[in-house]
Amino acid sequence: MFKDLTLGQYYPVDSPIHRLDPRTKLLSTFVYLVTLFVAGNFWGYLLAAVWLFTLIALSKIPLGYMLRGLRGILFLLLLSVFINMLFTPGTVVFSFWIIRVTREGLRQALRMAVRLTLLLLGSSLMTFTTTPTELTAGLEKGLHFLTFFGVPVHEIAMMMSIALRFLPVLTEELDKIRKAQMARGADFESGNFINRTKALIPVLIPLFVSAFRRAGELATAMEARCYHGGEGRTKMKPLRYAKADRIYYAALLLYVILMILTRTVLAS
Amino acid sequence: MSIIRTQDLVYEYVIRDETGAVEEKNRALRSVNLSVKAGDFVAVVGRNGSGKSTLAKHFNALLVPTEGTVWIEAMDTRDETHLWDIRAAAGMVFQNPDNQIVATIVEEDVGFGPENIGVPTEEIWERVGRCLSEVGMSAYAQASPGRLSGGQKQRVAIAGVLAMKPKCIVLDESTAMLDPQGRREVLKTIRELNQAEHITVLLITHYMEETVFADRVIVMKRGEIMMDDVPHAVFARAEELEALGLTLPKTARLAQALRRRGLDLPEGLLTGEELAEAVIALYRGKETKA
Repeated sequence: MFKDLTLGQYYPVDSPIHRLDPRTKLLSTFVYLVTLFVAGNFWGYLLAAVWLFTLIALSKIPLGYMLRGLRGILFLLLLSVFINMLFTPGTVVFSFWIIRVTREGLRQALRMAVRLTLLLLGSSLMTFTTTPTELTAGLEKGLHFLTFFGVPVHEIAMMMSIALRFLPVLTEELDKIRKAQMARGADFESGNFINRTKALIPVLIPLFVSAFRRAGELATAMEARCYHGGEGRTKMKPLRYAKADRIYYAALLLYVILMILTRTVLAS
Repeated sequence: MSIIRTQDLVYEYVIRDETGAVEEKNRALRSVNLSVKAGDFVAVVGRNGSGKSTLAKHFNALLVPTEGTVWIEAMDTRDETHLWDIRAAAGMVFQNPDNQIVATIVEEDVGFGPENIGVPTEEIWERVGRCLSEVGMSAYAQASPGRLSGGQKQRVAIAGVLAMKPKCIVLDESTAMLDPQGRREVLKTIRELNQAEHITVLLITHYMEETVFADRVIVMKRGEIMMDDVPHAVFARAEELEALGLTLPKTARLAQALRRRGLDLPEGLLTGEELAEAVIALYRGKETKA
């Protein structure tokens, strides 16, 4: 079930981007996503594309592999293109039956397609180059300031990493339960959508029961190993910014300034 | 010096109905008195419901006595100021290998305990490296726990406990879910730790053959200690053990069957070698007579 989910899977190669601190990647991805919405004209999108493809080249991830990740959301992409194309009012270029395609609609659709593609490639670049463990650690440290506002940052990060740890365990269990129910005559393949969904109930209930049992046992095991929250806890792999991170931040700053210039100086 | 000591230990599981009123009290331990010497290898056996797991959870302060007292290295488990010291001193390995590994990478899981007790980063790495090599899992430091066998997972769990530098390790039916190969791996690992590092081991199990190498075997029934002696002496009481629902290890059963057939073998033979030697000695004796 999770096997064909290529969007956001870690791609293990050694590259300057892989070696960056996860906090750097998180922040820069966030900044990049914001700039995509700042970009208003051709130059802005060109700049964003140049930035992204430079990073992809540095990350040593084959471009084809990255683009394959887009297949999963192709439907969504096309849908938004069509909606923009058909429902934007303006000068009609072409009409057929009740469909009207306008010049503004075409432009809007193209812009949307470029923006979505850049957005998805940009965020998947982060997940392709950062392991889930690093991501969690990055989030925990990067968002640590939120503890002052009462957000349980450490606990959320711990929950995320445990979820990641148990994802394959539960997937395997799901498969086992499915087979066990099939051996008892359960039918998951035939019938319409509603029937097939109903057939999942005898799979999901045992899965939930087992997940709760596991959670209880894991909590006991963690307590037995002296886990008592984030307080007074040391880190086996503490995060430290290196020189590469400082260079990267400088480049990011330059990119943001250029992006603002495309809005002001090159604004048409 | 005793590392674990209990006095008149009683534990009751209380079952409550929806309103919170006590519906039923289930006495899992009835007045257990026990003292374990530092460096010993003690096996606790008993059938399901004998209270052996409940007893084990008292040594890590996961449960506190209803009546009586438990001391770990002279620390009362009821005293909450010592809670983390007790848990670091008496590490615990559980039954299900999957449900006690916290991290997604083996080395990070071993580092989990030291992180919790605030060990500095460099020392965590030093401890993780040493403990993984002690359980023979150094080659898997970077591996994902999902790819390991049951026995390997339990060895990682043992390394995770070792990394907190415990005086004592309690294995709560840690071999019950493993295949024979995995059980051998785990038993070999803990025997080595006991012999080389002098770590006190408490092995809770329902397999009699796992108790053969212990210094002492404690047999439990319905929350009480029925026998407490060296393995030879315990195994010699075969009828009593069978009445308690425990089966003797294969070798001991074979020796018993041979004795019933009239062979003059001594009581309490445990390992294959001991039995073989006894049989050989018997035949040598006959030859000299004839």
